[in-house]
Amino acid sequence: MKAMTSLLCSGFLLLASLCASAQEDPPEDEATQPAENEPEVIVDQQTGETITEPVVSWVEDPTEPMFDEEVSPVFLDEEEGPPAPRYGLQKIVIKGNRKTMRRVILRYLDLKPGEVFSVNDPRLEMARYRLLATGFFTSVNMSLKRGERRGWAVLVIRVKERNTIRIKDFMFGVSEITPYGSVGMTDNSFLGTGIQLSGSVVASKKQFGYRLALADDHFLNTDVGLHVEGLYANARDFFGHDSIQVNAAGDDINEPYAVLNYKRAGIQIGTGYTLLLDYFFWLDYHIEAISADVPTAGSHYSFGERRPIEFGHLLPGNSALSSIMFGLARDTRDHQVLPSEGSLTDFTVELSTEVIGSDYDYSKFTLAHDTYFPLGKGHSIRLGLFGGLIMGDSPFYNQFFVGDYSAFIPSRLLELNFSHLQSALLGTSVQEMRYEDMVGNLNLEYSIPFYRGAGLIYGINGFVGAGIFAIASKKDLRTDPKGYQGYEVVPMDLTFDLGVRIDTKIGVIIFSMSNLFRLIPNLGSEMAE
Amino acid sequence: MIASRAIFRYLAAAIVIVLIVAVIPASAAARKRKVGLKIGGDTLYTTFSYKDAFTKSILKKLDSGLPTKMVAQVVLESKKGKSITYWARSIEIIYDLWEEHFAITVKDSAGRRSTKVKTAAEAIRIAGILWRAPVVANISGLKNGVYRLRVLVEVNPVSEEMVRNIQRWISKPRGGHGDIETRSNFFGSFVGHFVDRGIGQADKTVSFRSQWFTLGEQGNK
Repeated sequence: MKAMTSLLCSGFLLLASLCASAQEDPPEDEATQPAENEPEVIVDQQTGETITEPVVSWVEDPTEPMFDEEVSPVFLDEEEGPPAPRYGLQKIVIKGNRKTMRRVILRYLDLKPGEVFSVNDPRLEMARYRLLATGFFTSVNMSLKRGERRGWAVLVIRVKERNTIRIKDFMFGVSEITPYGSVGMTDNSFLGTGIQLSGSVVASKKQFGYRLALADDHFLNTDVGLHVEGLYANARDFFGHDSIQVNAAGDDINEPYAVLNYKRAGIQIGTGYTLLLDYFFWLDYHIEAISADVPTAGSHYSFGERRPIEFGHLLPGNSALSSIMFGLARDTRDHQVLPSEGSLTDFTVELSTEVIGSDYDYSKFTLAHDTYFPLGKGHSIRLGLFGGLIMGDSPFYNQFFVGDYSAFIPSRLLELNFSHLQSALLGTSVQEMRYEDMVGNLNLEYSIPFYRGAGLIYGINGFVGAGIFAIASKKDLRTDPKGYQGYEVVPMDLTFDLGVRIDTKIGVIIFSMSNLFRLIPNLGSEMAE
Repeated sequence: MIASRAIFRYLAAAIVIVLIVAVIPASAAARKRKVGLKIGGDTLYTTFSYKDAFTKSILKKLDSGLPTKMVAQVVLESKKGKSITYWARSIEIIYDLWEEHFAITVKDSAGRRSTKVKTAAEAIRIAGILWRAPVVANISGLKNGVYRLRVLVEVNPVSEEMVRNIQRWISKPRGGHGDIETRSNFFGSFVGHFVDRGIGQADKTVSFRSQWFTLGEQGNK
């Protein structure tokens, strides 16, 4: 045993000495530089004079921020300097693109062969950043070489490709009804075309769904994007509030919930356009076939009396949903996954009418706004507001679902629901609500940066948040809220969550309290009820 | 049980040794840079080299025909951490493919100068040394205070405005999908990668600070 322990200690010491020697070695990139403890003599190039002033030794401190925020760096004013060399562009050579098509790379460069350009042309720098921004490459370097004739140059673009496949929507949970899970995968440059291919699958006991999507940000080499998406779901949902009875073969049977089985298969096609950096417009058309097995009858104890269960506006048998959606988003956030400042506003409208072949007449409006207030050192507070309104009869899965606003109820995946939990933290009439036509939500989240890196993990943020929401349908406003008094009449509830958000090379991972509720159903139900 | 406790003790001791051995060289290896200070009239001049900013990868880019830009910034800082004065110089090096020379343009408070040299080594000698730079003027008003200089040299820095614009630009996928959160998920970590590594940072940064000194009758101490 002692021998083994000694071996372990020796191993640690060997590791330690390796660590130490690694720190003493200069980085490879700086190996050619003179040793800092033996600075070279500084000589004036014009007079040949050497330093004669008193000399002090300065300790380098690369970790400490250099200047306060009031000091801004200065940059060369290019217009005032001597003219930079100008060349005729003979051709463009691309190296390192084993997968990415040449035309995909050239799309981001505004220069064309034959054009005369300055080496200071901002289009060159922009092209480099735009190529990096695609996420297809870990590095993009540009250089010029002499062309075949004097005054001409060849532009060489060297790229280093990276893996563009990511895992997404990976989730596993256990509700009080069923285990469930989802997994998805995205290739941001399918076969090197620059087109995103994405697929997700969701499964649980007696439910499954698929989604396959293609998105091209530069459809036909324009700045207009195109998106096509297919969806199939063989699903079920759970209705009723309390003391639920369903009618089977003429008899009323007590059940924990009333089940509605349905299938849907649809396709959505859309286009989008970015204007003035911050604004994004989009227009989609959605059509789907629905087959629903709506129970003939069912009742539950709701608002202090026995009432018939409403099965979410879904038409029995076969029906069709056809809708047009459009929206406008303004996004000034500094980061998509771990933002600390800026804002995101998203307004959407969906219209469904028999004029375009739909069996469902409704219009749906949503407005979401998130503002991030930076608090310094990467800390920030997010204020989130959300409002939604549906006028008409939308299929229930298109309505606002209480689980999408409460951290204590499992959220839906691909619009499939796995839980019958009710939100009842405050004990208000919100516990009667599930799929509704109106919603308002206000939440605050404090975010703390734990880690920033450039390896497998790009960043980790801790967060703690709380919110209040209200959800109801128009009919509920007209219903006498029997059984509720005072503030309980208002269908509102609280929610809170805490956890960490990790941005990694393979995708975004979130560990949170609400995830825990999804894994431990009883804990979630106790908190919710 | 006793044996396993002993193993844990040994392991704990070994981990502590590892941490000590790993940490000590890091602090002991703090680099030093020799810098000249001189008072002439009412101005504080400084001289130092930052040739180490020219790393292998930057040397490789130097004759790429595309501009290499450098910004050297010097701040006089008081004991309270307040920036008293600020001085900056920007340098641009461009290799002319057909004339086969390096054109160097320097711009600071003294104006703009430019020169041409034949080799990269000469270009580095000119661009990589700050020679008697008048970093603090009117020092008579600063006598008897305790100060230090802080220096930051960046190669190919990116302006904050540029970073902001590009971040905003890359956050707008144009697939036409209605669910903005879904779009975010599509692009999330790619953007993270880009922001963390690709932009917002210079190709190379050299930074250091001086020891504290007073601007007395004898010049610096």
